[in-house]
Amino acid sequence: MNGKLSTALFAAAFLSHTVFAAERIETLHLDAIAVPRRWSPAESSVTLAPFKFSSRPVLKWTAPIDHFSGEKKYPVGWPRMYMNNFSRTKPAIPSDWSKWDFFEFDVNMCLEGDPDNKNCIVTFMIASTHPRSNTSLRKMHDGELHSIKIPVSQITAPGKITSFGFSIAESNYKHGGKLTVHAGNFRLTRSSHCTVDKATMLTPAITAAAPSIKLHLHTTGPANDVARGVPFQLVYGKTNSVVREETLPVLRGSREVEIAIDELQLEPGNYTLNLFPSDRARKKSLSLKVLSSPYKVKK
Amino acid sequence: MKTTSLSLCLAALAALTINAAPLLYDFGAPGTPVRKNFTPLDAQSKMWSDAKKLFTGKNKIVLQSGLNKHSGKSVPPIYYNELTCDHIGSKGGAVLTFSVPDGSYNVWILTGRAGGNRSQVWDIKVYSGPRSASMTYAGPAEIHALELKAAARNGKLRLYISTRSKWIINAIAIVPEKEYAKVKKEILDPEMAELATLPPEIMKKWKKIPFKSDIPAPRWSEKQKKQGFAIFSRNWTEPVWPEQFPRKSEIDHPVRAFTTIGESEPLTFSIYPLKNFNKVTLQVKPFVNEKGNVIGTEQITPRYVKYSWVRPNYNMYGFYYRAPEVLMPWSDRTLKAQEPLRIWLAIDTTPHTVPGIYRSQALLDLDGQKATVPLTLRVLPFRLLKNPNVTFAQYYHHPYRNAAQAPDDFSRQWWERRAEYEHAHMRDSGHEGITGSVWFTRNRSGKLVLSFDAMQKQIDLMRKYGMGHFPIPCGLGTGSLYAYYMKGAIMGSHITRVKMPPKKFFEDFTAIIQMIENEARRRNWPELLYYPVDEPASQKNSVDFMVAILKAIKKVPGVRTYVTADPATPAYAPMKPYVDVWCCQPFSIPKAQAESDMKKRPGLEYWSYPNHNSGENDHTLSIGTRMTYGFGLWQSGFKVLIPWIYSSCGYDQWNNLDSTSADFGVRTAPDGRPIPTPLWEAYREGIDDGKYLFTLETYIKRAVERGFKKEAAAAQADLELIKKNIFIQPKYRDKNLWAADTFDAYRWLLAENIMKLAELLK
Repeated sequence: MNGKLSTALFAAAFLSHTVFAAERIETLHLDAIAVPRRWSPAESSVTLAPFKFSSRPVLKWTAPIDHFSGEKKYPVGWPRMYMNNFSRTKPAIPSDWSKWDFFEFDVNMCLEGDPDNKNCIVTFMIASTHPRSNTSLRKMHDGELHSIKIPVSQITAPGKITSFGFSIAESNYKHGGKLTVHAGNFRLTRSSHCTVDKATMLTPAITAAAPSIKLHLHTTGPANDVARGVPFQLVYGKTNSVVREETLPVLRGSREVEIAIDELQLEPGNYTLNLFPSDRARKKSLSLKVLSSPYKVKK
Repeated sequence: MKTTSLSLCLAALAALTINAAPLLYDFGAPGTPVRKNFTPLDAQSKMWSDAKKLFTGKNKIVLQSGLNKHSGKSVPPIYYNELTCDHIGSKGGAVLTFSVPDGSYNVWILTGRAGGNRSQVWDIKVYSGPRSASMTYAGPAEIHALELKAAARNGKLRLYISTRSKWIINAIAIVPEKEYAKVKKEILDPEMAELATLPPEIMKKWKKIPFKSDIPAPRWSEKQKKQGFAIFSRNWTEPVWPEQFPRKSEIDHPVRAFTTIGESEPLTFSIYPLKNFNKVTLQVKPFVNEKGNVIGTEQITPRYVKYSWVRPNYNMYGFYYRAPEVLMPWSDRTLKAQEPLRIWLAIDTTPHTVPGIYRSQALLDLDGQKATVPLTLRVLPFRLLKNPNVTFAQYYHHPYRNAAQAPDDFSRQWWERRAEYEHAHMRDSGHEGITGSVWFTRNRSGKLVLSFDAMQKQIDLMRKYGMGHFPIPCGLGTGSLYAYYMKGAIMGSHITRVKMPPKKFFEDFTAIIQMIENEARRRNWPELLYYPVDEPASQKNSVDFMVAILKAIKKVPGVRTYVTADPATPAYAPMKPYVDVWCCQPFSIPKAQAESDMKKRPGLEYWSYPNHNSGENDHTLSIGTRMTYGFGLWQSGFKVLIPWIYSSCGYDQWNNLDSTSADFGVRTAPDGRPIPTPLWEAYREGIDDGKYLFTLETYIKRAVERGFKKEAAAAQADLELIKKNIFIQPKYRDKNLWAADTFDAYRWLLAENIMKLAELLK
């Protein structure tokens, strides 16, 4: 299945009165990342794990914690492994990820000799151009399987991926311990539909004098569908009335989005902003509190 | 200047010949390089008269960096070119006479980059008739251009030079008034641009980081197109970048803010020029409220935001971009098309300011075109309360050290005056302490030398400005004593090269700490927190040394130790029993743990140096800085914020690229007064957010005590709402934060509750 596109079908849990096509998640498996010989470890070792995650190969990276065997520049120790220039070797791993929504993999870790470590941080690095994109895998040494999902939009130059890496700073660990990281089921994924994967209200409170509300949206899906925009409605809590309803123009990836409200003259009170209000599967709701204007004195 | 008989003749000829062309002189010593377009002029020229002991200074033009043996880092030299590598100067007056046709001239004088003593304060005033231009600046690297209008009579143009300490001149241009704009654009401005960055040979190796903005070009109105500019208003926590359009919602948006009695509040607006303007003037009218009460212009400080070439990180070399960085005192400006200018007004209310809605106007004149910007300031009817359990302080390079090494009285007094201004500035911005040090060493004969009197002077000044209660992180002469016992060895950067010294070293260290402590008690000093090493590395030899030296300190009864390291790092675990104050990056320990640890062990405190907010890296994280200092600190459990550093300037404080580390923090005006940055104002505003929170918490307690339980619960519910909506993070930068307006909305929510409860508690 390496390099082949497979498709997983996810039926929407609920369908509202409006009929929407079911969302599909397209997946490109990158099993070629889980090939030990392609990695260059230092102060650590890498092998193929004897088991699989979701039938996909798994890397086993082992880093003994030794505070006295580090290199001159990093005397405490800096176990790490990198995979560089992978596009030149077979099987190939695509270097252009810009049309995908997420890079995902599964990981489990165990830390011998230091199980209560509160500072266990494994850095996973994806390099394109400067700066590198680092993801901190914090406190995952509980033996459980964790799913890592990195938005492609957060990678500096997703059109030109050149290398990956795992590393730890040994100063975060007790001398004499051993960290084992299992990582596998590497894949790129994307939704067949425009979906707001994450929505954050950046203006949970505004004064009535504010000209706009601001959101941070992470939007996934094919460019054509995303271009249709995200329908939203603003609902006044006191009367449950919709004070604004339209479609928000968005782009793929993480963006700050501004909704002008200056002409609405919003009453002070609590509001709810619903994204995809008629689609239960995709609906997201955010709270907004509107305060009186500081510049109008009540008499 | 390269001296040949021919060039001397030419110089003499230039001095004697009547010439209407621009005269460009490169001052300096014979035999040194001369800048293209310039003529050499030395101290022997007949153009000098009434000169008191002229001296000539020269420095080598070097482009290669050196090596700091202690840190192992590469250190660039002070970069000189043909103009700056040499100069003529004096401790007294002098007259320079130029033979030129009668008429009006513009005079351009280059002064600075003398090299030498870091504590020298240079001072120059040049007169021509009734007009004068002056500059005062400190140290070996700053460079300034003075401009002066002058008139020639009877074929002579005379410049009278005076000083209060020492002056130098590197170059002079005498340009007929009509030609000045052209000469300035083609010769003088490029010279200054080079001096404000790096030599071309170095600069070409640096990479400019392009600016990206997602704000599209607005559709300009006919009025804006006709007048050639638009006025816009953006929340002060969001930078206005030099290559950025205003948002549609920001254009003509009202310029307003609310404040309390006895507070300082920024009001900012910006001009977006659609074309070049030669002269922009600003006048701000007094604020008047509905009852006729006035906030006068003496309570309004107008500034503008200066763009600088900066580095992405203070120790990153080779990358640069242009960023809004310093809040310069207002002076008439020129505007370049498509480069916005942000105007920043600081409005101070006093304890006597009457509450109300005050209105004012900013009157702008852009090359004769007038514009009026309405300003509104609401003064709320209460005073903010400060939480006594949190403290704000600064790492500080004390100007008294320079004063002690100053070569003349003027320089010494300038450094002393600067220290006074800076202490007042810190106090007025809500800061209550600074770092200090008692340095000690044993000289070759083994005699112990301690700097008690220097510390006493610093403590006297702290007390004068209300900082007398702050426990002082006190740097010590550990490295010096180590060298004494270890045959001159150095401990290395972050004590990475330290080896365990003999037992006697630690016994001596304990004895010295006991002496310092005895003296501190005798002199009634605030508590000293013994701070033996800055940021020790986490490797074994460093940690072992730290454990030993902390133990040595703790042998002195009742003293506390101070360590700059992350307590969450397991490698530091052996140090834990001996550390009383941990100072680390924010906020590495969760609130619950910080509070629980401090409760369990009296004397233990968690402090933080939020250096990512100080300008050490990005100079524009005002919003994250405000969050760190206000709502963030509120939910952190930490007790003290003490960033590094109030002011960090390498060579020229106006050239961010020229030294090992980039400049950041507060800058210094010619008179020694501080020039703040937006980040500094973000500290102050964050501290004020914290005061709003504490004021409401205090009023809620009082309301509960007085039986207004329902009203107190309603106010508490709003506090909980804010708490719930904070995106808690260890480090607040510019991502994953509330939008700028929400900070003010929450501040307003707090203010409304405070006013409601205050009314009940009357």
